[in-house]
This record gives sequence, C-alpha cells and structure tokens, in this order.
Amino acid sequence: MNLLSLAFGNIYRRPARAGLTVSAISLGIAAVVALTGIAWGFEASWQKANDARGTDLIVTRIASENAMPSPFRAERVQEALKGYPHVQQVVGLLSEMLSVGEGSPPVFVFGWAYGSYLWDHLKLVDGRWASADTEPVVVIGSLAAELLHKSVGDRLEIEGQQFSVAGVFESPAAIENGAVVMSLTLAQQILDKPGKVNILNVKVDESATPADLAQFKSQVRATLPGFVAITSGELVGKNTVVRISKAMSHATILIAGLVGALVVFNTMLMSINERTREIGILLTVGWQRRTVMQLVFYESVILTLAGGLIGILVGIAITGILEHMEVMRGKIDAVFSPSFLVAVVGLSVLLGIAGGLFPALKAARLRPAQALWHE
Amino acid sequence: MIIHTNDRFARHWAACPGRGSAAPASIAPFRFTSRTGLPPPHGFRYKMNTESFPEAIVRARALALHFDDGDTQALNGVDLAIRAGEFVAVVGPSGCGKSSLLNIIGTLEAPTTGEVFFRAQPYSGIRDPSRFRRQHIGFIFQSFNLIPTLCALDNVLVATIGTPGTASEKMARARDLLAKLGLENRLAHFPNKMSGGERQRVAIARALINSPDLILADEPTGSLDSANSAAVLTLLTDIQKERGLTVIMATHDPSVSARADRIVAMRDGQIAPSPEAAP
Repeated sequence: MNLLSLAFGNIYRRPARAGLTVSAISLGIAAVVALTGIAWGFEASWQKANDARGTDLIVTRIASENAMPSPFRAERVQEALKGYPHVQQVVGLLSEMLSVGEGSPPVFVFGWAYGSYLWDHLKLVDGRWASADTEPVVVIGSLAAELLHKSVGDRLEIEGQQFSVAGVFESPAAIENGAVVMSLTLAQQILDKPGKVNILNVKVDESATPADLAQFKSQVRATLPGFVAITSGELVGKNTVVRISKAMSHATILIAGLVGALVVFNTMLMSINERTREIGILLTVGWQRRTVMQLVFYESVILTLAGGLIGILVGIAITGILEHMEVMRGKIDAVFSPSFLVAVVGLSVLLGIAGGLFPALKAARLRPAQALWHE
Repeated sequence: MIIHTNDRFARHWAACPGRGSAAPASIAPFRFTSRTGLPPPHGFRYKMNTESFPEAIVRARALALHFDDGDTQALNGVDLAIRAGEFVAVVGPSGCGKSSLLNIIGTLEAPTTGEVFFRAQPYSGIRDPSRFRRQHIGFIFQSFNLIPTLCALDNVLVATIGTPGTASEKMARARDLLAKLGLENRLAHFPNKMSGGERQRVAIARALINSPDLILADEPTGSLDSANSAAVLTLLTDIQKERGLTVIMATHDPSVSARADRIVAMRDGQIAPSPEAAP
C-alpha cells in the first residue's frame, strides 16, 4: 500500500460520487475540446484553402472582417497590382455560401478566374474541366458530390440557373472538397456582382524575398487607399467568425475551468467532512500533515485527470459526430494538436489542485484529538 | 503527588537487576539525579542533556488543560512519571481527565500549561509531532478507530506510509504481526466483517507495526465482552512483556486495571491520593 493506491482506493470505494464528479468534469472538458478544436479547425481550414491555392498575398478591403471579405470592383486595383515588382498573376476570387437544389445543405460556391493558377492545385478525379470561361458548367469537390448526390453530367441549379457538372475534383483543403467551383465570370453573373471579387490573389515570382513582400504591402497601403495586402494567415486572423469562435472557446475554457474546480472543491470538501475521523486516525498513527494534504491532492487530481481524459475522448467524439452531420460536412475540419491535448490534460491537473487546495488545507489543519471524536 | 503500586509492579520492580527487594511505595516528587545517557528521541529539534528521574520514559509535570471555553478544566496540575517497560493503568470515572492525559502524552493535544518529557526531552522541543508519534507511540482506542474502507491488512499498513522501508518489508511485517495476533485468516476482511475482539487485535497490530516504545490504550476493552476483553488484555500484557514496551492504559474497569503493574488514579483532572479515592 502506498499513498497513490490509497487515493485510488478512496475514490473507488465511493463510486457514485466519483462517477458524478468525473462526469461533470468530463462534460466541461469535452465542451472545451470540441469548441476549441472546431475554432482552430475553422481557422486552419480557411488557411489551408488559401495556402493550397499557392497565393502569396491577398489584397482586399481594409474594413472586411467576414469569413470572405465583402465584394469590391476589382478592375482598377487589379491593373494597378499587375504593375508592382515581382507580381506574376493577380487573380480575382468571388465566393458565396448557397443552397444548390431543394433539400440540399448549403455549400460554398467559388468563382475563380478561368485559366488562372488557382485551379492548379485541384486534382480531377472524374469528368473534365470547363472548356471556356462562359461555358455553363461547374466542377464539384468529391465531398460536395456526395452531399449533393451529383455526379458528372448531372444538372445543378444555382440561384435559378442551370449548370451541368463537368467534373469532380479533390483538394487538399476540406472547404474546397465540399464546394462548387465555376469560372469567375459565371459566378459574377449568377451572384449579380459583375466585375466584383471578394479578394485578389497575388502570386509573385520565385525571386521575391520577404522584404519584397513587405515592400508590396507598404506600396498597397500607399497607392491603393482602402485596400490592404495581407497573408492568408492574416486574412483568417481578421475573420470575425474565427475570432468569435476562438473567443467562445476561451470563454468555455474559463467557465469549464471554474465549474470543474467548484465541482472538485465540493466533492473533496464533502469527502473531507465525511472522513474527518478517518483523517484523525491517520494523523494519530503518525501521518504528517503534508502527507494528508498529498492524499487529498492525489484524490482530487485523479478525479480531474480521469474527467480530463474522458472529456478529451468525448470532445473528439462529439466533434467527429458534428463533422459527419450532413449540414456541417465540409465546413468544419476540427484540429486537435498534441500540444492542445497536453494543455487540456494540464488544465485537468490544475483543476484538481485548485479544487483540492482548500479541502487539503482543511484536512491537514484538523486536530487529531478532535477529529478522532468527530461523528 | 502519590503514585501507588500494586503487587504485580512490586514483583516486577524487585525482579529488575540492581534493585532492592522492595519496590518503592511512592515516587514523588521527581528529582533529577542522573543523566539519561540516551540519544534524543527521533523528532526532537535539539538535544537536551536534561537530567531526569532514572528510567522514566515519560514524565509529566504540572500539566493543565483548559478547553476553549476557558471554564472547563480537563487537567489541573498533573505530575506523573512512567518507567520504561511499565504497564500503568490510569483509572478514574468518566470525565476525570484520563483521555486528556493520554492525548497529551500522545502529542495529540498540547497542554495549556506544564510540560511532558519523553526520555528527558521536553515535548515543547518536538519539531514534528507526527513523526514523533509514528516512531515512538502506538495508540489503541475503545472504538478501535479502524478505517472502515480498508481491510485488516491495509488498516495496519496505513500506519507505515511515509516510514522507511520497502513495500514488501512492510507487507511482511504487517502479515507477520497479524498472524501472531491470530488474524492470519482475516487479512482481507473489512472491519464490519470482524468481531469486536478481532477489530481490537487489528488495532493492536497497527499500534505495533512501527515498533513503538510506548503504547497508549484508551479504554481498549470498553467495547468488548468479558471473554474478548480478557483475551485482548492477555495479548497486550504478553506483547508488553515480550517487547519490553511501556503501556499506559486508561480504564474505569477494576478488573482491567488489576492486570497492570501500577495504578494511577485520577479525579477531577488531578491525580487522586489513592486508587480507592476514585469512585
């Protein structure tokens, strides 16, 4: 017998209370894991989509903070950017989330400049690409094909217009796999935004250095008032949805942390009150006060650690279920980095220490002679 | 202060090498006549070369204990000396201060005034009472005070947590002790599945597991029937003799106190003039 086995035994012998405490903590931790994983996944998905296209810089309106910046007239800006040093291509992108056909979940519809480098990262797995800028066809991601129950040759109605599915592709970015892609010209037509784009993707030549990119950014600020050149990471960072989801995950961590610590506090305090006499016995047979504190801490940390580990599994499971719900598929791609999971485990231990602190002190301060007579 | 001896103690005293044939009728007051020559007990902060009464393992001087309300006096000027290897019964009616005296000697409680010495070292010098208790004192209670969620073996082993030695050594020691107390078939039994006598034997094993010098037994037979009571007392006296332990036992049962080497009577928080004076 040692202190750890005694702590395990004390928990094991009170299964109902231990089970309730672990359940409460695991639910809080699961909420933290799911929300944080989704928030980070949302950010990572957008960044991956931007990165996958091979874009070096994105030019958009300064004030835009939506998931996809609000559209603007591109022609003047696009022409100006083409004259900047090291610029190879400046390509417009228009996007909207739309319902395509009755009963189908909404999907992202992307309009990319026909023949631009934006198409290069897609891998065609069935059918063909559009043969002309204005050909009324779309290509759809493999996940979109599954969600919309469409395949090559099927018809797709978007904003009242009929399109034919010319091909099915796969992309490294989950968002694009769940999307419908057409030429920019067609997208501008159906969305009634002629000449407008959400962002301009800028590809620079290979000789461009980070200093050149910094110079590019300064030049945009100086010569194109109201516009800003940013990296894909910065664009995602400006995204209000990402910010809100991150803020929500932080708030959840705080609330789950407080609730978890209170649950442990309550459980351990009840346990100490019930076991006053037992602690008196331990002190009488020569246990040091710090050993009694250690025992209480072991018990509270075991409870929170169990809650944390179960919570991680439950959180990942919840996220997996959400990701596979039809309405959410292709829109979230939760990320659970090892460092995040380690941090969650650390949070669980901290909850145990914080929640067990006062009960441990209370137990250690008991006077053995009085504790022995406690009923 | 007068401490009376009974015949058993007189015989024991006479049998000790270097003693005269007659036991002293009283030992009071204490006089510091020689150095103990013993190393300071574990748990003491500093070494004191106090001279003390020879062979006194425990000596209490002018002990008083007032409870928090200030009006209740549990002890009021108790002086007491216990020799190493003695079996002393502290007798007296309920509330006379027997348990308080044992609590103070056991470092479970601090006196309001006065001092206790263990092998001539004052308790006020003890830096770590828990460690001191673990190394020098074993406790036996009327209500057994076993942990209900632990089996017999674990109830003994729990007292070894934080003590030197390997887990297997401690386990072997606990098993051996319980076997000697006739509980080899009850190791995995929980207290609620054991008889009162068995529970008290587990408590005795727990008290002995760290090889203490002093056993403090507070009404150890108070919850037992006469047969179990006699068995536990026999066990306790046998172990005391075998190990040369010092035992201080609080009891109000004359048949129990009769087994002791010496009887100290208490009344109203003080040592009574004679055992007979304590009703």
